[in-house]
Amino acid sequence: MSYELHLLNLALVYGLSALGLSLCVGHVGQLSMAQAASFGVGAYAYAIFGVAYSLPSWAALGAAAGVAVAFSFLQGFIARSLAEDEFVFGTLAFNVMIAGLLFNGTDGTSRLGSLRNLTNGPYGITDVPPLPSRALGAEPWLLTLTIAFVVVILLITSYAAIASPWGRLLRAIRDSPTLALSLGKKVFSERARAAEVASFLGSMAGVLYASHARYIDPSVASTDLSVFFLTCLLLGGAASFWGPLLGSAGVVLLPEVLRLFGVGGATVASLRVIGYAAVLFALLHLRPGGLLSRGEQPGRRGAV
Amino acid sequence: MLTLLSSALSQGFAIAALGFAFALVYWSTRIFFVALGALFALAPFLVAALQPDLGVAGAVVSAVVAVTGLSLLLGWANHERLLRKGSPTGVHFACSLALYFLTAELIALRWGSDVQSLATLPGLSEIVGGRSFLLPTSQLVAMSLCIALVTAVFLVLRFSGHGVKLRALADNPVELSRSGYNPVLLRGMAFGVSGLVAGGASIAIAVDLAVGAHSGMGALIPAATATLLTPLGRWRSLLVWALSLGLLRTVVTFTTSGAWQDPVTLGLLLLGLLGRRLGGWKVWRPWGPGLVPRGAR
Repeated sequence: MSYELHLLNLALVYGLSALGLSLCVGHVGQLSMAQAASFGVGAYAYAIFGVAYSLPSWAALGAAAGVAVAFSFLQGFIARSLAEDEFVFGTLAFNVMIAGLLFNGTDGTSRLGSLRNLTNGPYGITDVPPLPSRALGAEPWLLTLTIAFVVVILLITSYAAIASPWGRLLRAIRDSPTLALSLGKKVFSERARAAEVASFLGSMAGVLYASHARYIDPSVASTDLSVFFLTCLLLGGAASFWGPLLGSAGVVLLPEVLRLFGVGGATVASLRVIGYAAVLFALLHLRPGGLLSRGEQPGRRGAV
Repeated sequence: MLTLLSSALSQGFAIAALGFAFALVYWSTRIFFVALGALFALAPFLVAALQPDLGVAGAVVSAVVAVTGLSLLLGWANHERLLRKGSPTGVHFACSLALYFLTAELIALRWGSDVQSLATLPGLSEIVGGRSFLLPTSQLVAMSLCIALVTAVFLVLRFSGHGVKLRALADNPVELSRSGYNPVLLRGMAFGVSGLVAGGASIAIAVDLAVGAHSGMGALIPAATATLLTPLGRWRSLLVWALSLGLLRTVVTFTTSGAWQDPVTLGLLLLGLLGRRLGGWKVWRPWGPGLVPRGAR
């Protein structure tokens, strides 16, 4: 696969996940730290169905989407039950739990996909089938086209949802939950629904990532990845539609910029994290609504 | 059995010391001071770097002073600015998390990703014990230091009046400032003491085990869990939760593996938070969840 197509695939996949997160963070105003958990569950569901049960790629995609829907209800339950600072730590706890289950889900001897060895633990799962199929998977542009196709369908659906009366209701809840309550709106239920959609989009991004990388390990559900998605989101703009996509492209291209300056080797990983953290810190202080925003105040539009 | 118990106690008091540091800021300002994890990781590296020039005592004092100063700086430059803008909790959390990653990676760049242990300091290599158990001196020293830290913080808050001021700061900072107190100074005190306790706890833990550039978050997770599960302002309950978590984590390690420690700890936290919200038990929280009509859910 050419390097440019690899970067494009990553930007699309991360952009989809960040867009999902924007529903929670930007449109409802609740900081979720569990997007990587959804991403990891989607990736593992696709890999297990494709490798352990040898399902064709599209069937594995459909089955993983079913798992993603079921998993999203768990996140919805958390969003329905917790609010504010408890929601932040609740989702963080949930993320660490899922990462721990993926890491520890093996006995080292049983068949992959069985209850005793569901995830293969720290060794991860190799030879994940690419989309659209194993036979055609050798064509890199075809994989990119398939990923782009799935992402565009989900983007159109998300755009319709954000622009619909439901999307406006979410923003009304973010701006004034008390007012929304006084109008008879079910604030906690709508927050839960937004968290469910966010989780579903994150899981689908995980499916596409597994199909692209063809190898996954428990790091796909790490807390670091949740922070990474948050950086992508805040870079572009938490409450804008295109912001998460542009932010993801920017974050994916950041290491390439470092490489232009001759920075490479072992230090590049540390410098990349420092770069993400510095960008996140500066954005939250200077432009909490993201680069595409008009300098809104935190706590208002697009703030976490 | 005695080995398990001593290990649980040692871990429990370490969690309690860091929990007290975390709660000092969280209970008085409602800020998740996650960057404290990075300050926790920094202290042992500073001691190891300064020890050849300053000796053990000088290096420990300098490291604790440096960590305290850095904690004050983070509180003032980051959280105080965000408070002035009226930023919500999530922004404080995300900013603090960014500072955590920034500092941890800077530590890794400067001193590498290997863990730093202070067990090689003079007089820590002996073993004490009875017929049925053996205990390294380093573990005894670490546990004693953590107990001393926890006791000192508790006594200062209980008998100096600062505890009441911090509680007033949590309850109503506007009313507090009307009464002639400076909330900015009080918040600064909370951040400073928090850094001091975290630095001391970190050095104590590094005497027994080892601390790495990226181990701050792992250490902060049980401490934050104990704090969040404890009713606001109940320091003795925080100690009980910390010791219980120490026992739980030790039993988990003995019966399964260390990799299950964090998932089990945070599973307990999630259950606790959900149980509290769903009416399992009630906790006094001055900001409260607000009055939510039954139909709103």
